[in-house]
Amino acid sequence: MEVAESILTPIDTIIIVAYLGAVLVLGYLFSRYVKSSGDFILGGKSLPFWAIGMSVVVSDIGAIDMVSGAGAAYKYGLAQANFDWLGSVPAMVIVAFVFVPFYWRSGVCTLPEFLGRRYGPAVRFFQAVIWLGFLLSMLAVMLWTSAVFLNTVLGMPSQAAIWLTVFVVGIYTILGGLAAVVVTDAMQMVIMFIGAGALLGLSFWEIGGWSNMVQTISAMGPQFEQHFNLLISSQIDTPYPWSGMLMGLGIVLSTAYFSSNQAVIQRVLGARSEWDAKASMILAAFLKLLIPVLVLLPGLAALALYPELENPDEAVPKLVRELLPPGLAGLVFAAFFAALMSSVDSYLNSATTIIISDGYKPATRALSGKDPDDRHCLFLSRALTGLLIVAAGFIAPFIDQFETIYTAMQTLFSLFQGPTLAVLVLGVFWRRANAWGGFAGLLLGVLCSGSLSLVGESLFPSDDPFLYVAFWAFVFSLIVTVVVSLLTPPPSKNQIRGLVYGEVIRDETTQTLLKERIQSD
Amino acid sequence: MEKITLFLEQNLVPLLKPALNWFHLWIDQLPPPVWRFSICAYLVLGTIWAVFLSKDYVLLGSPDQARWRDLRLWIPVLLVPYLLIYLFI
Repeated sequence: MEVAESILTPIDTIIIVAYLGAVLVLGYLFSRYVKSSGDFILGGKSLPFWAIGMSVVVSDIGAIDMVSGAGAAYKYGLAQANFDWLGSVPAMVIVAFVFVPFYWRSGVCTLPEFLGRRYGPAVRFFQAVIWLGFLLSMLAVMLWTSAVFLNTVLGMPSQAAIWLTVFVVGIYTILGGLAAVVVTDAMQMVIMFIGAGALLGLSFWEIGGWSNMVQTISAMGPQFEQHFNLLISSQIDTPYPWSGMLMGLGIVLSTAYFSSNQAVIQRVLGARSEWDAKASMILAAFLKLLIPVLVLLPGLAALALYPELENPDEAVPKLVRELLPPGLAGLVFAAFFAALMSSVDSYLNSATTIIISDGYKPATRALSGKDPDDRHCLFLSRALTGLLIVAAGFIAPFIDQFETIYTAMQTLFSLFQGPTLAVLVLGVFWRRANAWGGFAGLLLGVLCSGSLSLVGESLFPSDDPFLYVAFWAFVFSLIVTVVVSLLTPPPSKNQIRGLVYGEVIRDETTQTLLKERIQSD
Repeated sequence: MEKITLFLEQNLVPLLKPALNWFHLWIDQLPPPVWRFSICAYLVLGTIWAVFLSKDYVLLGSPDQARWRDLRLWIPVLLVPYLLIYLFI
């Protein structure tokens, strides 16, 4: 890879080094409070709502989003903002008041764990493998994308960029576990908002404000006339038609993301109380209002300033190189590192949790008949965290050669979203849903997603019909799960005790039993 | 993969196309004000139920009973900016 010339002055470097140092110190401070695997995985259930809310938002918006989100706005316009606006509400409200109290009281640590208890080990294994594959491939991709960005704009050799990130994130995540991840995330969100706000302010200053930007882009030609519309007709060639946004994103993908993403679930389960867990999601929904403003508007500003860019993803790097004065460049790079590290640490911590909770613990119980030693679990969690981030560091430079694997992993993951939400919703709200129904709904739902993806262009009014595919696969999985469950014997009361909404939320006997089980765990 | 796609094009598409087509054609012909109304109705219906949850359920685990901790009160405040966005952008 060609090394570009650095645009950083000594003061920028001091800001970045001070920021990275502060993150490491925080990680060290939190290491004192990690005494058990519960402290490592769930932050000792001590986290306040504001830290979790900020962490949920900043984990969702990574360095890749800062670059590719602005790039998508450059290419498709404001419709990209739906992913943060319609993609947050009402999904986050539903998750806050329905799924969060449910997970909190049922005492599970991961979605595969819940689905495994509800539908059996096959569904748990299926879910754990797909989540793990997704999280690990994303770790490598994040490291590589960031290396490319740092190399292009900063002139930092890509290997150095990768290992700097591996070192800093690895250290504080290994030492402090979830608590360190969440608290550093909160700090990183503040840095990210300040840095992104500075870039936005300078871009708008350069272009002469919002009206000038709208005028400039609108005058570029008819292909840009939809750039300031949030809702676009499906008769126009766009991957974001309004009906797909409502059905695919609003109803299915956003609810699936916030109710089943391990990074989100783990954070809310680390809250110090059920109220903090619920409040964190409401706070996150407020903060998500600002994301399109900070992340997408720079993309539109870049379109007005530099309409000749061949690759839309160059929008933010171009703004950074052209507009930022000394001092601010360091702040924006700190923001970029913040966005990068907050996502990498979340995926790292979540991948470790899935391996421990859905792999190591059940395997130990099955082989030895008793629970694994907690000190052993803590040591293993830390060792795994180190191993995973180092492995991702080694794989990252080769990610270009494994592009097909990454693409396949991403596609496979997107195919799971609709069916996973369907079996989750039925598992939580319908007592009659059984193991056969859940397994068939998930398996056939994924096959349905895959089939619809292959022939989507012939079936749906869009060239990239992933939103419609998600919606119809969700509907199909609901139907299959209901039909197969009704055709096979219902689960016994013992099988679903403490696993359906009515019991977990309202039944006092079940709640007492669950509390005893959680305390004994 | 090409063989699978061809098989699906020949067997699945003719089966599903009539069922999905009428739905998408109907949605496509709706005028823009209906799009806005549908999204806003979804936002309101998807969140407003939370306002009617019991106070005990919402406040469970709260360290005190301060008024601002009643999360139901924040739902309309949250909804307003989202509604303004989808009504006017």
